[in-house]
Amino acid sequence: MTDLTTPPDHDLPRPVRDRQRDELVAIVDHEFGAPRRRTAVPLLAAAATVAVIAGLAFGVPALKGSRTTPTGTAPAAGGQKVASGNTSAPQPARTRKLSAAETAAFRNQCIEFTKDYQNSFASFEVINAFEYVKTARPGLTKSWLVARKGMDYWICSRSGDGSIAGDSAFGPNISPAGKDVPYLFAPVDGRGEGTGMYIPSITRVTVQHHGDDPVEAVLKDGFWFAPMEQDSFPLPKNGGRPITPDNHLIGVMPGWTIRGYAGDGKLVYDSAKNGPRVEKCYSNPARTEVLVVNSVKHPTPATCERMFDWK
Amino acid sequence: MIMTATDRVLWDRASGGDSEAFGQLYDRHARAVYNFLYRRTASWSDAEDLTSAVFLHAWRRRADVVLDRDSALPWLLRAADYTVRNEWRAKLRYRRALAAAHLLADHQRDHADEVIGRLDTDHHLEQARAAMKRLPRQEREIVELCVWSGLDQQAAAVALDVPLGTVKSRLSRARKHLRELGISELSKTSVETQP
Repeated sequence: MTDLTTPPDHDLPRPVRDRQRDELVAIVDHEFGAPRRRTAVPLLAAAATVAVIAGLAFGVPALKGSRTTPTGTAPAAGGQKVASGNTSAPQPARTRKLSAAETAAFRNQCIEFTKDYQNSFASFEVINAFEYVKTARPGLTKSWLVARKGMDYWICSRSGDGSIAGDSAFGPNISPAGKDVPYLFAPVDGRGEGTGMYIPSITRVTVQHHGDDPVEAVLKDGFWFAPMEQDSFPLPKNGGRPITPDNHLIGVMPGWTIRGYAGDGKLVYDSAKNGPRVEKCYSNPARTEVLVVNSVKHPTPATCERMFDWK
Repeated sequence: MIMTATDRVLWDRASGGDSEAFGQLYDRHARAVYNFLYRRTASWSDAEDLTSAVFLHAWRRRADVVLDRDSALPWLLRAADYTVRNEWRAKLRYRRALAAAHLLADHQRDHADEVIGRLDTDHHLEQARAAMKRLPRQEREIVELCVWSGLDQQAAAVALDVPLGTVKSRLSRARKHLRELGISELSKTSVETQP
Protein backbone atom coordinates (compact mmCIF):
# COMPACT_ATOMS: atom_id res chain seq x y z
CA MET A 1 0.00 0.00 0.00
CA THR A 2 1.32 3.45 -0.87
CA ASP A 3 1.81 5.78 2.03
CA LEU A 4 2.57 9.45 2.50
CA THR A 5 5.39 8.95 4.94
CA THR A 6 8.13 11.41 4.14
CA PRO A 7 11.79 11.24 5.06
CA PRO A 8 12.74 12.58 8.48
CA ASP A 9 13.47 16.26 8.77
CA HIS A 10 17.03 17.43 8.27
CA ASP A 11 18.81 20.48 9.53
CA LEU A 12 20.25 22.88 7.04
CA PRO A 13 23.95 22.13 6.60
CA ARG A 14 25.78 24.16 9.21
CA PRO A 15 27.82 26.27 6.75
CA VAL A 16 24.67 27.09 4.78
CA ARG A 17 22.74 28.01 7.91
CA ASP A 18 25.51 30.23 9.22
CA ARG A 19 25.95 31.93 5.87
CA GLN A 20 22.26 32.53 5.33
CA ARG A 21 21.85 33.89 8.83
CA ASP A 22 24.72 36.32 8.36
CA GLU A 23 23.38 37.37 4.97
CA LEU A 24 19.87 37.95 6.26
CA VAL A 25 21.09 39.95 9.23
CA ALA A 26 23.17 42.10 6.89
CA ILE A 27 20.25 42.57 4.50
CA VAL A 28 18.00 43.66 7.35
CA ASP A 29 20.62 46.11 8.50
CA HIS A 30 21.11 47.40 4.99
CA GLU A 31 17.46 47.73 4.07
CA PHE A 32 16.56 49.32 7.35
CA GLY A 33 19.21 51.90 6.65
CA ALA A 34 21.25 51.39 9.78
CA PRO A 35 24.52 49.52 9.60
CA ARG A 36 24.76 46.70 12.10
CA ARG A 37 21.98 47.94 14.31
CA ARG A 38 21.80 45.64 17.28
CA THR A 39 19.25 47.21 19.54
CA ALA A 40 15.59 47.90 19.11
CA VAL A 41 14.66 51.37 18.00
CA PRO A 42 11.94 53.34 19.75
CA LEU A 43 8.52 51.98 18.98
CA LEU A 44 7.31 55.15 17.29
CA ALA A 45 10.17 55.10 14.83
CA ALA A 46 9.59 51.42 14.19
CA ALA A 47 5.93 51.97 13.46
CA ALA A 48 6.76 54.76 11.04
CA THR A 49 9.17 52.53 9.20
CA VAL A 50 6.68 49.71 8.96
CA ALA A 51 4.22 52.13 7.42
CA VAL A 52 6.81 53.03 4.82
CA ILE A 53 7.65 49.42 4.12
CA ALA A 54 3.99 48.60 3.71
CA GLY A 55 4.05 50.50 0.46
CA LEU A 56 6.63 48.19 -1.04
CA ALA A 57 5.13 44.98 -2.27
CA PHE A 58 7.02 41.76 -2.53
CA GLY A 59 8.18 41.13 -6.05
CA VAL A 60 7.84 44.65 -7.28
CA PRO A 61 10.89 46.54 -6.19
CA ALA A 62 11.12 50.28 -6.04
CA LEU A 63 13.37 52.39 -8.17
CA LYS A 64 16.50 53.97 -6.98
CA GLY A 65 17.17 57.63 -7.47
CA SER A 66 15.04 60.61 -6.71
CA ARG A 67 13.21 61.33 -9.90
CA THR A 68 10.19 63.49 -9.68
CA THR A 69 7.15 63.24 -11.85
CA PRO A 70 7.40 66.01 -14.38
CA THR A 71 4.78 68.45 -15.45
CA GLY A 72 2.54 67.05 -18.11
CA THR A 73 2.01 63.64 -16.65
CA ALA A 74 -1.37 62.20 -16.00
CA PRO A 75 -2.43 59.62 -13.46
CA ALA A 76 -3.27 56.26 -14.88
CA ALA A 77 -4.97 53.22 -13.52
CA GLY A 78 -3.18 51.61 -10.65
CA GLY A 79 -1.98 54.89 -9.21
CA GLN A 80 1.01 55.19 -11.49
CA LYS A 81 1.81 58.31 -13.38
CA VAL A 82 2.76 57.96 -16.99
CA ALA A 83 3.87 60.57 -19.40
CA SER A 84 1.08 61.63 -21.71
CA GLY A 85 1.16 62.48 -25.35
CA ASN A 86 4.36 60.71 -26.30
CA THR A 87 3.50 57.06 -26.36
CA SER A 88 3.64 56.34 -30.06
CA ALA A 89 6.80 57.82 -31.50
CA PRO A 90 9.83 56.36 -29.76
CA GLN A 91 13.21 56.37 -31.36
CA PRO A 92 14.03 53.11 -33.16
CA ALA A 93 16.20 50.77 -31.16
CA ARG A 94 19.82 51.11 -32.22
CA THR A 95 21.72 48.03 -31.18
CA ARG A 96 24.84 46.22 -32.18
CA LYS A 97 25.80 42.60 -31.95
CA LEU A 98 28.72 41.95 -29.63
CA SER A 99 31.87 40.52 -31.14
CA ALA A 100 33.01 37.03 -30.28
CA ALA A 101 35.59 38.40 -27.87
CA GLU A 102 33.10 40.75 -26.24
CA THR A 103 30.59 37.93 -25.94
CA ALA A 104 33.14 35.64 -24.32
CA ALA A 105 34.10 38.32 -21.81
CA PHE A 106 30.46 39.10 -21.08
CA ARG A 107 29.71 35.42 -20.59
CA ASN A 108 32.61 35.03 -18.17
CA GLN A 109 31.36 38.03 -16.25
CA CYS A 110 27.92 36.44 -16.01
CA ILE A 111 29.32 33.06 -14.99
CA GLU A 112 31.30 34.80 -12.27
CA PHE A 113 28.17 36.63 -11.14
CA THR A 114 26.29 33.36 -10.74
CA LYS A 115 29.08 31.18 -9.45
CA ASP A 116 27.36 30.50 -6.14
CA TYR A 117 24.06 29.53 -7.69
CA GLN A 118 22.87 25.98 -7.47
CA ASN A 119 22.57 25.77 -11.24
CA SER A 120 25.73 26.33 -13.23
CA PHE A 121 25.23 28.00 -16.57
CA ALA A 122 28.66 27.12 -17.90
CA SER A 123 27.17 24.49 -20.20
CA PHE A 124 24.58 26.83 -21.66
CA GLU A 125 25.12 27.87 -25.26
CA VAL A 126 25.05 31.58 -26.01
CA ILE A 127 22.46 32.28 -28.69
CA ASN A 128 22.49 36.04 -28.64
CA ALA A 129 24.62 38.86 -27.22
CA PHE A 130 24.04 42.49 -28.07
CA GLU A 131 23.84 45.96 -26.62
CA TYR A 132 22.08 49.24 -27.17
CA VAL A 133 24.38 51.75 -28.79
CA LYS A 134 23.22 54.48 -26.47
CA THR A 135 21.13 54.65 -23.34
CA ALA A 136 19.78 57.62 -21.44
CA ARG A 137 21.71 56.89 -18.25
CA PRO A 138 24.67 54.65 -17.33
CA GLY A 139 22.59 52.89 -14.68
CA LEU A 140 20.22 51.47 -17.25
CA THR A 141 20.70 47.97 -18.56
CA LYS A 142 22.53 48.18 -21.84
CA SER A 143 23.75 44.71 -22.81
CA TRP A 144 22.16 41.28 -22.78
CA LEU A 145 23.42 37.77 -23.16
CA VAL A 146 20.91 35.02 -23.91
CA ALA A 147 21.97 31.43 -23.46
CA ARG A 148 20.07 28.21 -23.80
CA LYS A 149 20.35 24.58 -22.89
CA GLY A 150 17.50 22.50 -24.21
CA MET A 151 14.34 24.27 -23.13
CA ASP A 152 16.08 26.12 -20.32
CA TYR A 153 17.00 29.76 -20.83
CA TRP A 154 19.41 31.99 -19.03
CA ILE A 155 19.47 35.74 -19.62
CA CYS A 156 22.16 37.93 -18.12
CA SER A 157 22.14 41.71 -18.38
CA ARG A 158 24.75 44.38 -17.87
CA SER A 159 24.37 48.05 -17.04
CA GLY A 160 25.97 50.86 -18.98
CA ASP A 161 28.61 51.18 -16.27
CA GLY A 162 29.81 47.65 -17.07
CA SER A 163 28.47 45.93 -13.97
CA ILE A 164 26.14 42.95 -14.15
CA ALA A 165 22.61 44.20 -13.59
CA GLY A 166 21.12 40.79 -12.96
CA ASP A 167 20.24 37.49 -14.46
CA SER A 168 17.21 35.31 -14.75
CA ALA A 169 16.84 31.69 -15.66
CA PHE A 170 13.84 29.54 -16.22
CA GLY A 171 12.84 26.32 -17.84
CA PRO A 172 11.67 22.83 -17.01
CA ASN A 173 15.00 21.80 -15.52
CA ILE A 174 15.52 24.97 -13.56
CA SER A 175 12.12 25.67 -12.10
CA PRO A 176 10.27 22.36 -12.14
CA ALA A 177 8.08 23.46 -9.25
CA GLY A 178 7.08 26.77 -10.79
CA LYS A 179 4.07 25.83 -12.85
CA ASP A 180 3.54 29.44 -13.94
CA VAL A 181 6.95 29.48 -15.62
CA PRO A 182 5.76 28.52 -19.11
CA TYR A 183 2.99 31.11 -19.02
CA LEU A 184 2.93 34.88 -19.07
CA PHE A 185 1.05 37.12 -16.66
CA ALA A 186 0.42 39.64 -19.42
CA PRO A 187 0.78 39.90 -23.20
CA VAL A 188 4.13 41.53 -22.45
CA ASP A 189 5.63 39.99 -19.34
CA GLY A 190 8.54 41.46 -17.39
CA ARG A 191 11.17 38.97 -16.26
CA GLY A 192 14.39 40.49 -15.14
CA GLU A 193 16.47 43.54 -15.85
CA GLY A 194 14.88 45.10 -18.91
CA THR A 195 13.94 41.70 -20.18
CA GLY A 196 10.76 39.77 -20.65
CA MET A 197 8.63 37.69 -22.94
CA TYR A 198 5.66 38.40 -25.13
CA ILE A 199 2.84 36.54 -26.81
CA PRO A 200 3.02 35.82 -30.57
CA SER A 201 0.52 38.51 -31.59
CA ILE A 202 2.72 41.27 -30.18
CA THR A 203 4.98 42.86 -32.79
CA ARG A 204 6.27 45.87 -30.93
CA VAL A 205 7.11 46.67 -27.30
CA THR A 206 8.05 49.95 -25.69
CA VAL A 207 9.15 50.80 -22.18
CA GLN A 208 8.87 54.21 -20.62
CA HIS A 209 10.07 55.70 -17.39
CA HIS A 210 8.02 58.61 -16.19
CA GLY A 211 9.63 61.76 -17.39
CA ASP A 212 11.47 60.02 -20.22
CA ASP A 213 10.49 59.33 -23.78
CA PRO A 214 9.35 55.79 -24.54
CA VAL A 215 12.11 53.50 -25.75
CA GLU A 216 11.67 50.86 -28.39
CA ALA A 217 12.46 47.35 -27.19
CA VAL A 218 14.29 44.76 -29.24
CA LEU A 219 12.13 41.72 -29.92
CA LYS A 220 13.78 38.40 -30.63
CA ASP A 221 12.63 34.80 -30.29
CA GLY A 222 9.81 35.64 -27.93
CA PHE A 223 11.95 37.83 -25.70
CA TRP A 224 12.02 41.60 -25.46
CA PHE A 225 14.95 43.68 -24.28
CA ALA A 226 15.05 47.35 -23.35
CA PRO A 227 17.18 49.63 -21.18
CA MET A 228 15.63 49.73 -17.75
CA GLU A 229 16.92 50.55 -14.34
CA GLN A 230 18.35 48.07 -11.93
CA ASP A 231 15.93 47.88 -9.09
CA SER A 232 16.55 48.33 -5.41
CA PHE A 233 14.58 49.22 -2.35
CA PRO A 234 15.57 52.76 -1.52
CA LEU A 235 13.99 54.19 1.56
CA PRO A 236 14.40 57.87 2.35
CA LYS A 237 17.10 58.19 4.95
CA ASN A 238 15.02 60.42 7.15
CA GLY A 239 11.73 58.58 6.92
CA GLY A 240 8.78 59.53 4.82
CA ARG A 241 7.26 57.76 1.87
CA PRO A 242 9.19 55.68 -0.65
CA ILE A 243 10.56 57.68 -3.54
CA THR A 244 8.56 55.74 -6.09
CA PRO A 245 5.24 54.33 -4.90
CA ASP A 246 4.72 50.65 -5.31
CA ASN A 247 2.59 49.87 -8.35
CA HIS A 248 1.48 46.43 -7.15
CA LEU A 249 2.27 45.00 -10.57
CA ILE A 250 3.98 41.72 -11.33
CA GLY A 251 7.15 42.13 -13.35
CA VAL A 252 6.80 45.89 -13.89
CA MET A 253 9.16 48.05 -11.90
CA PRO A 254 7.50 51.04 -10.20
CA GLY A 255 7.74 54.16 -12.31
CA TRP A 256 7.91 52.18 -15.55
CA THR A 257 5.25 51.50 -18.13
CA ILE A 258 5.46 48.63 -20.60
CA ARG A 259 3.33 48.68 -23.71
CA GLY A 260 2.67 46.10 -26.38
CA TYR A 261 1.37 46.67 -29.90
CA ALA A 262 -0.20 44.29 -32.39
CA GLY A 263 0.79 44.00 -36.04
CA ASP A 264 -1.66 46.69 -37.10
CA GLY A 265 -0.02 49.15 -34.73
CA LYS A 266 -2.85 49.01 -32.25
CA LEU A 267 -1.94 49.34 -28.59
CA VAL A 268 -3.11 46.09 -27.00
CA TYR A 269 -1.33 46.17 -23.67
CA ASP A 270 -0.46 49.02 -21.33
CA SER A 271 0.90 47.95 -17.95
CA ALA A 272 -0.37 51.14 -16.33
CA LYS A 273 -3.91 50.28 -17.32
CA ASN A 274 -4.16 46.52 -17.30
CA GLY A 275 -0.89 45.25 -15.87
CA PRO A 276 -0.92 42.04 -13.84
CA ARG A 277 -1.57 42.87 -10.23
CA VAL A 278 -0.11 41.16 -7.20
CA GLU A 279 -3.49 41.02 -5.49
CA LYS A 280 -5.00 38.75 -8.13
CA CYS A 281 -4.86 35.03 -8.65
CA TYR A 282 -3.91 33.46 -11.98
CA SER A 283 -5.00 30.30 -13.77
CA ASN A 284 -3.39 28.46 -16.64
CA PRO A 285 -4.49 29.52 -20.16
CA ALA A 286 -6.95 26.63 -20.36
CA ARG A 287 -8.56 27.75 -17.11
CA THR A 288 -8.31 24.30 -15.61
CA GLU A 289 -6.00 25.07 -12.72
CA VAL A 290 -5.13 27.94 -10.44
CA LEU A 291 -1.37 28.42 -10.63
CA VAL A 292 -0.77 31.59 -8.62
CA VAL A 293 -2.95 32.28 -5.61
CA ASN A 294 -1.42 35.44 -4.17
CA SER A 295 -3.75 36.71 -1.44
CA VAL A 296 -7.02 35.61 -3.02
CA LYS A 297 -9.00 33.67 -0.46
CA HIS A 298 -11.08 31.40 -2.65
CA PRO A 299 -9.38 31.20 -6.03
CA THR A 300 -10.94 29.17 -8.80
CA PRO A 301 -9.80 28.83 -12.41
CA ALA A 302 -12.95 30.59 -13.54
CA THR A 303 -12.54 33.63 -11.32
CA CYS A 304 -8.78 34.06 -11.57
CA GLU A 305 -7.01 35.95 -14.31
CA ARG A 306 -6.08 33.78 -17.24
CA MET A 307 -2.38 33.57 -18.00
CA PHE A 308 -1.06 33.65 -21.55
CA ASP A 309 0.76 31.11 -23.67
CA TRP A 310 4.22 32.27 -24.60
CA LYS A 311 5.02 30.84 -28.01
CA MET B 1 16.08 32.36 34.78
CA ILE B 2 16.35 32.38 31.00
CA MET B 3 13.65 34.35 29.24
CA THR B 4 12.78 33.19 25.74
CA ALA B 5 11.26 35.89 23.57
CA THR B 6 8.13 34.92 21.72
CA ASP B 7 7.95 35.20 17.96
CA ARG B 8 5.77 38.26 18.42
CA VAL B 9 8.40 40.02 20.48
CA LEU B 10 11.13 39.05 18.04
CA TRP B 11 9.01 40.10 15.07
CA ASP B 12 8.27 43.48 16.64
CA ARG B 13 11.95 43.99 17.34
CA ALA B 14 12.93 42.91 13.84
CA SER B 15 10.38 45.27 12.32
CA GLY B 16 12.04 48.01 14.29
CA GLY B 17 15.36 47.26 12.69
CA ASP B 18 16.79 44.79 15.19
CA SER B 19 18.54 42.47 12.79
CA GLU B 20 19.64 40.11 15.53
CA ALA B 21 16.00 39.54 16.44
CA PHE B 22 15.40 38.57 12.84
CA GLY B 23 18.38 36.25 13.07
CA GLN B 24 16.77 34.56 16.05
CA LEU B 25 13.57 34.06 14.08
CA TYR B 26 15.68 32.45 11.39
CA ASP B 27 17.34 30.19 13.98
CA ARG B 28 13.95 29.19 15.27
CA HIS B 29 12.16 28.38 12.04
CA ALA B 30 14.73 27.78 9.29
CA ARG B 31 14.62 24.03 9.81
CA ALA B 32 10.84 23.78 9.44
CA VAL B 33 10.86 26.06 6.41
CA TYR B 34 13.74 24.12 4.87
CA ASN B 35 11.98 20.79 5.24
CA PHE B 36 8.68 22.20 3.96
CA LEU B 37 10.55 23.44 0.89
CA TYR B 38 12.23 20.10 0.43
CA ARG B 39 8.93 18.29 0.40
CA ARG B 40 7.67 20.79 -2.15
CA THR B 41 10.69 20.77 -4.45
CA ALA B 42 12.05 17.26 -3.85
CA SER B 43 15.49 18.81 -3.87
CA TRP B 44 17.58 19.55 -0.83
CA SER B 45 19.71 22.01 -2.75
CA ASP B 46 16.71 23.94 -4.05
CA ALA B 47 15.31 23.93 -0.54
CA GLU B 48 18.57 25.42 0.73
CA ASP B 49 18.51 28.21 -1.81
CA LEU B 50 14.87 29.01 -1.25
CA THR B 51 15.03 29.02 2.55
CA SER B 52 16.86 32.32 2.61
CA ALA B 53 14.50 33.70 -0.04
CA VAL B 54 11.53 32.87 2.18
CA PHE B 55 13.02 34.82 5.05
CA LEU B 56 13.81 37.73 2.79
CA HIS B 57 10.19 37.69 1.63
CA ALA B 58 9.10 37.59 5.26
CA TRP B 59 11.26 40.55 6.13
CA ARG B 60 10.00 42.64 3.27
CA ARG B 61 6.41 41.75 4.06
CA ARG B 62 6.81 42.16 7.81
CA ALA B 63 4.01 44.70 7.96
CA ASP B 64 1.61 42.01 6.74
CA VAL B 65 2.61 39.24 9.08
CA VAL B 66 -0.14 37.26 10.79
CA LEU B 67 1.01 35.38 13.86
CA ASP B 68 -0.84 32.33 15.03
CA ARG B 69 -0.82 32.17 18.84
CA ASP B 70 2.50 34.00 18.78
CA SER B 71 4.03 31.62 16.26
CA ALA B 72 5.35 32.95 12.98
CA LEU B 73 5.74 29.49 11.46
CA PRO B 74 2.35 29.23 9.70
CA TRP B 75 2.88 32.60 8.07
CA LEU B 76 6.42 31.63 7.09
CA LEU B 77 5.06 28.51 5.42
CA ARG B 78 2.62 30.70 3.52
CA ALA B 79 5.63 32.73 2.40
CA ALA B 80 7.37 29.48 1.48
CA ASP B 81 4.43 28.42 -0.66
CA TYR B 82 4.55 31.71 -2.52
CA THR B 83 8.31 31.51 -2.88
CA VAL B 84 8.19 28.06 -4.46
CA ARG B 85 5.56 29.26 -6.91
CA ASN B 86 7.81 32.12 -7.92
CA GLU B 87 11.08 30.30 -7.56
CA TRP B 88 13.32 32.06 -10.02
CA ARG B 89 12.06 35.49 -9.05
CA ALA B 90 12.67 34.73 -5.40
CA LYS B 91 16.24 33.66 -6.06
CA LEU B 92 16.87 36.73 -8.16
CA ARG B 93 15.46 39.02 -5.49
CA TYR B 94 17.67 37.45 -2.87
CA ARG B 95 20.66 37.84 -5.12
CA ARG B 96 19.89 41.50 -5.61
CA ALA B 97 19.42 42.07 -1.90
CA LEU B 98 22.84 40.56 -1.31
CA ALA B 99 24.37 42.74 -3.98
CA ALA B 100 22.74 45.84 -2.52
CA ALA B 101 24.10 44.96 0.89
CA HIS B 102 27.55 44.41 -0.68
CA LEU B 103 27.45 40.82 0.39
CA LEU B 104 28.06 38.82 -2.73
CA ALA B 105 29.77 35.99 -0.99
CA ASP B 106 32.41 33.82 -2.53
CA HIS B 107 31.01 30.56 -1.35
CA GLN B 108 30.66 27.27 -3.10
CA ARG B 109 28.30 24.56 -2.08
CA ASP B 110 30.30 21.63 -0.80
CA HIS B 111 28.08 19.18 0.95
CA ALA B 112 28.81 16.12 -1.12
CA ASP B 113 28.62 13.72 1.80
CA GLU B 114 25.29 15.02 2.91
CA VAL B 115 23.93 14.92 -0.61
CA ILE B 116 24.97 11.29 -1.03
CA GLY B 117 23.35 10.45 2.27
CA ARG B 118 20.10 11.98 1.16
CA LEU B 119 19.68 10.27 -2.17
CA ASP B 120 17.65 7.55 -0.56
CA THR B 121 15.37 10.03 1.17
CA ASP B 122 14.90 11.79 -2.15
CA HIS B 123 13.65 8.54 -3.63
CA HIS B 124 11.26 8.02 -0.73
CA LEU B 125 9.90 11.51 -1.08
CA GLU B 126 9.36 11.02 -4.80
CA GLN B 127 7.11 8.08 -4.00
CA ALA B 128 5.13 10.10 -1.48
CA ARG B 129 4.85 13.03 -3.89
CA ALA B 130 3.64 10.75 -6.64
CA ALA B 131 0.89 9.58 -4.35
CA MET B 132 0.02 13.15 -3.40
CA LYS B 133 -0.33 14.14 -7.03
CA ARG B 134 -3.48 12.09 -7.15
CA LEU B 135 -5.16 14.60 -4.84
CA PRO B 136 -6.62 17.93 -5.97
CA ARG B 137 -4.26 20.84 -5.32
CA GLN B 138 -6.18 22.30 -2.39
CA GLU B 139 -6.24 18.94 -0.67
CA ARG B 140 -2.54 18.44 -1.37
CA GLU B 141 -1.78 21.73 0.33
CA ILE B 142 -3.70 20.79 3.44
CA VAL B 143 -1.99 17.42 3.67
CA GLU B 144 1.40 19.04 3.22
CA LEU B 145 0.75 21.37 6.12
CA CYS B 146 -1.20 19.19 8.53
CA VAL B 147 0.34 15.79 7.84
CA TRP B 148 3.80 16.52 6.51
CA SER B 149 4.63 19.72 8.37
CA GLY B 150 2.65 18.91 11.49
CA LEU B 151 0.65 22.12 11.75
CA ASP B 152 -2.64 21.97 13.55
CA GLN B 153 -5.76 23.10 11.73
CA GLN B 154 -5.76 26.62 13.11
CA ALA B 155 -2.14 27.14 12.07
CA ALA B 156 -2.89 25.70 8.65
CA ALA B 157 -5.72 28.21 8.29
CA VAL B 158 -3.18 30.99 8.81
CA ALA B 159 -0.70 29.37 6.44
CA LEU B 160 -3.31 29.10 3.70
CA ASP B 161 -5.10 32.32 4.57
CA VAL B 162 -8.47 30.57 4.62
CA PRO B 163 -11.10 30.19 7.37
CA LEU B 164 -10.68 27.36 9.87
CA GLY B 165 -13.85 25.74 8.60
CA THR B 166 -12.34 25.51 5.13
CA VAL B 167 -9.30 23.75 6.51
CA LYS B 168 -11.49 21.27 8.33
CA SER B 169 -13.56 20.47 5.27
CA ARG B 170 -10.54 20.22 2.95
CA LEU B 171 -8.72 17.95 5.36
CA SER B 172 -11.77 15.78 5.71
CA ARG B 173 -12.14 15.51 1.93
CA ALA B 174 -8.43 14.82 1.55
CA ARG B 175 -8.54 11.98 4.05
CA LYS B 176 -11.58 10.53 2.33
CA HIS B 177 -9.80 10.68 -1.02
CA LEU B 178 -6.66 9.13 0.42
CA ARG B 179 -8.70 6.21 1.75
CA GLU B 180 -10.45 5.80 -1.58
CA LEU B 181 -7.10 5.82 -3.37
CA GLY B 182 -5.66 3.27 -0.97
CA ILE B 183 -3.03 5.67 0.31
CA SER B 184 -2.00 5.48 3.93
CA GLU B 185 -1.55 8.72 5.82
CA LEU B 186 1.39 7.48 7.89
CA SER B 187 3.83 10.30 8.26
CA LYS B 188 6.21 12.14 10.47
CA THR B 189 4.71 14.66 12.87
CA SER B 190 7.72 16.06 14.61
CA VAL B 191 7.81 19.58 13.23
CA GLU B 192 7.60 22.46 15.65
CA THR B 193 4.34 24.38 15.76
CA GLN B 194 5.08 26.85 18.52
CA PRO B 195 8.07 29.02 19.29
